[in-house]
Amino acid sequence: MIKNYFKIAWRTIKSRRFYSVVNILGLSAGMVFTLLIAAFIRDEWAVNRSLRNAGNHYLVRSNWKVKNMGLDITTIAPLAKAMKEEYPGLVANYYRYNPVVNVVSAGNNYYKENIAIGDTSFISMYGFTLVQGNPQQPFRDDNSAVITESMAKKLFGKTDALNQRISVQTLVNNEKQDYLVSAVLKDLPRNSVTGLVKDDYTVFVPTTGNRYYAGGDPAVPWTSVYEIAFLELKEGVTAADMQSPFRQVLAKYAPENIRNNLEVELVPVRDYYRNADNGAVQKMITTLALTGGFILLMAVINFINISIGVSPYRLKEIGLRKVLGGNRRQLVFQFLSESVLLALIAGGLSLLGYELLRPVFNQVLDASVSPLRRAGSPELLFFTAFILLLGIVSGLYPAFVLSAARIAHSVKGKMTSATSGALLRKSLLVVQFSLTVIVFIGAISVSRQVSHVFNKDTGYNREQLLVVTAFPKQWDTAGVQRMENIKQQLLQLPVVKAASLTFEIPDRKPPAALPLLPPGEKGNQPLNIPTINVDEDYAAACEIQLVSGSFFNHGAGAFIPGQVVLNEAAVKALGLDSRTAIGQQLRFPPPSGGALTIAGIVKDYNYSNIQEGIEPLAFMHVRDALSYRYLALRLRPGNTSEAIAGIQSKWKEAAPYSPFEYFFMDEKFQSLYTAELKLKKAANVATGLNLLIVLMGVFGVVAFALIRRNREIAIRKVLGADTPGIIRLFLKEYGWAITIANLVGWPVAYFIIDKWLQNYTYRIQQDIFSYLLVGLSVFLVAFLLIAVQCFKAATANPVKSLRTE
Amino acid sequence: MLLDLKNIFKWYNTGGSRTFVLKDINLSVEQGEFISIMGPSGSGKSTLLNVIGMLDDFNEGEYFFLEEPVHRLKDKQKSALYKQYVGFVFQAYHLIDELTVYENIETPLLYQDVKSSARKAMVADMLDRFRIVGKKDLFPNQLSGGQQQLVGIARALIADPKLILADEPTGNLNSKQGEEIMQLFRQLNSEGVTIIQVTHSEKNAAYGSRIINLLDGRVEQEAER
Repeated sequence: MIKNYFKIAWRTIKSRRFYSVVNILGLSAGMVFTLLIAAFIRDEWAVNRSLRNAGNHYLVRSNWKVKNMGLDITTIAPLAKAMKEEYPGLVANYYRYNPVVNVVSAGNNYYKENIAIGDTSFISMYGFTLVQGNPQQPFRDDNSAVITESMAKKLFGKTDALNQRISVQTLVNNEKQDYLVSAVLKDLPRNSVTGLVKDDYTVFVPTTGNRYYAGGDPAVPWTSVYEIAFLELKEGVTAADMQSPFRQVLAKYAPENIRNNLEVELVPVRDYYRNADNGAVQKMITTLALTGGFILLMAVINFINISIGVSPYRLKEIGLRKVLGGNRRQLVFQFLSESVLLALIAGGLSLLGYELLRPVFNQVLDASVSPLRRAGSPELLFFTAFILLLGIVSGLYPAFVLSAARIAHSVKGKMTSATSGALLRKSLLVVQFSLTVIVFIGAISVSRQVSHVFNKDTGYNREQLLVVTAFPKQWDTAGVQRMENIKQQLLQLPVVKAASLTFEIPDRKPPAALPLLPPGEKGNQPLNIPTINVDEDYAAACEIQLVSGSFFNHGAGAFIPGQVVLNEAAVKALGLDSRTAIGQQLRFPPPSGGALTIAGIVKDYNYSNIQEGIEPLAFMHVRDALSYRYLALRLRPGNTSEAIAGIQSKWKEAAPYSPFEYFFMDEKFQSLYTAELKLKKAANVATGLNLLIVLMGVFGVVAFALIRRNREIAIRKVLGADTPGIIRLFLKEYGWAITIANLVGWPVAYFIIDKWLQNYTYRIQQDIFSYLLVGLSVFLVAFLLIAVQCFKAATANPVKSLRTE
Repeated sequence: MLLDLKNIFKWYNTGGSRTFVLKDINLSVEQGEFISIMGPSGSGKSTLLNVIGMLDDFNEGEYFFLEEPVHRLKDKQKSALYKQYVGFVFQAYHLIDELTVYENIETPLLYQDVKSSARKAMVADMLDRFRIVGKKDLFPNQLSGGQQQLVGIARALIADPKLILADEPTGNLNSKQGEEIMQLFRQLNSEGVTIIQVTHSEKNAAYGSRIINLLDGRVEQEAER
């Protein structure tokens, strides 16, 4: 019997080819999107799950009572180690690292790499896999390094890199520290331990015996607060259990000013990825899940509408089946087998679509959704169940409605309960239109917000600003002097208009802050002002405006030590007046003492993501601060690739053992807003898809209405209606549905967008035009479709329709 | 002269040969006539009626309606012509199910852009004339067949046509209802409305002043009464 059902179902699908194609395409479009989103969400959930004992790992996070005293993702360097030593019953293991960027070389290969100077515990602690080396003892001694598989290939052209020599450039005296590779890691899965700061780490070296910094092992001093630290707690120990042990260890070892201002907190590593940045990833997951759900819902509604829409063709068949003795259950079964068959075909197509659209999706969301062949049997089982369910759910309503038709009427091909179902179908259509309106308005608002951010005057010029990583990083007087020389050589190129040696570019809030006391302040409570180390040409290179004074000794000859430049916000925060502040002294609190003279004041500019606002900021001269990371080059407009080639060859000449790594500031600027840009692209795709599906829905409903009202149209024509009149009749009807959808959709959209915009300090005002634009476009597109569809019916010869009675 | 058909031919191409539906029809109708068209099934009665009503085309011949050469008119002009001068009555009534009696009767006026106040007056007048005021808010499926046909005729008359075309107007009615409808036609005819009806029934045909017998698309016999 089932075979018979499927045979008939197949024939029906074939004979109503056009509608079947529309139906299958609509359903598979919805499925493809849902599949991609499901795969994406699965991957996002899997992050950190593969770590050994994933539930027991914690990041040590610092909450500073005084603003800008330290970072929240780093803490006192020896703290984690002390915890393990003092509380071996609670702490199973610890891992700390100091993240640095510098040149790693082997032979004549030089690369800029992310290097983790840290404890040697991490491989066994997180269960990372080795492709080479001894898992029991991956680091043989303090002169061993572990590198990743791809790093090994990059340096040596093969994964077998055991006992090869690599050199890490240090900050001290232009020296290198040599290591022998003792193990090679399989490339690390996405995780929040090595991926805490969103970079890929490729080289891991021991912190003990490390000579990267002038002070030796960075994980030793209790005064250093820039070490990333993780703890693995013993089974059954909770983060709350660690509160008082932490307090006691801090009381025992930490310096007073740190102890008084620091509270540490353990944050679970397992969920860290999704909850970081105010739950940015979790928000993305929720948004996508909702969108996927909406789209699937729309596709199912469509399926129902189209199935019912074409059913009058089949009423005669239904009636005859009943006359011939078929009972209702059998008919329901027949219809269900048909919808399941359609769903199966759509499912097959959606797998194809998944593979085809995967690259696009990955590019839009900057994701790496895995290909189908990686899917295991649980996924396939889930997918099959999902399709069967979808087929049954979408077939249920049409099956019951159609099988309920009365014999006598259905034999004549006349729908009896046409009006009762019409309300439901129209309501479904209203739901679909509302969703479309909401998503559409959302997309426009996201777009407007993004361009709002991109069009804002940031106070500096990000166009034609080339940033070169300043290697070698030798953070002493000689190193700074050498970089200044390289800078002078680059300035000889006509294409370079200005250049500056700097520690920061406007892509983040500077992590380091200076404690400064305003002039005349008797107390010892300093203001921690985030500080950028730059040379005197920074304002000129970035085109930051000067309010008063000068930018250090810019254009005025020799370097003057002990100067500082402030932004307007800092001047205000220090209680100074920008007209009188120049020449005043800012003191460091005791015990260090000392003072800086205010040399100049710059206009406030956005030194980080616009949404973070502009806070007090100070500039120190690199010759005083002795640290740098970049050379920022202001280029003259012209051929960019020629300019880069010129700069590169000059660079090779001036710094032969340093890789030439560069990026443009406007690209970096964009990367600060990837979440918004992703959302913009996703919203556009969702709008397109929604619109497509809703139009298919309209198509189904109108097709149904046209069949049902064929006779009415003919009568109206005989009574004198012309073609536009008939089309108007239908437009009026669906005009109502769209109007209601807008009435429902607008407030919902307003509410959602308003809530979303609250995330941004710098945001657009919602205006009525986006809403009107969306309303109007939806009207236009739907009307066009309806008009085209009605045109045939409206111009058909009425005699034919009436004769069929 | 209301209308004049000259050498009208209508055919379908089936395979290589032509199947004639109407063959060399010549028919002149004066205002105020009451014509019955008779003939067996498939003789072309309804087709002829549709041709007269300009709902259907013909392949050859000339047709003048109120001196207008219909065979040379465009669809739009034809539709304007029948909209103004012709009312249709069908065997299956063809009322619009979703509209009330009142609205059904009103519909042709809507398509002729009659003003609202005038429409109200005209429909009220018609309801009154057919004594169906009490039923004006009912839907077609709440009426008997005879009543539905009454509404159908009222609707055909609302725009004050010169010609009523009726395709077996009593075909779905019982004999008593049928007789009432035919009496109504006679009365309308006496008031000056030209009527052309297609019928199977000798008795109903006898209401006409002229009977045309069709056989295989050809006028076989024409009889004045």
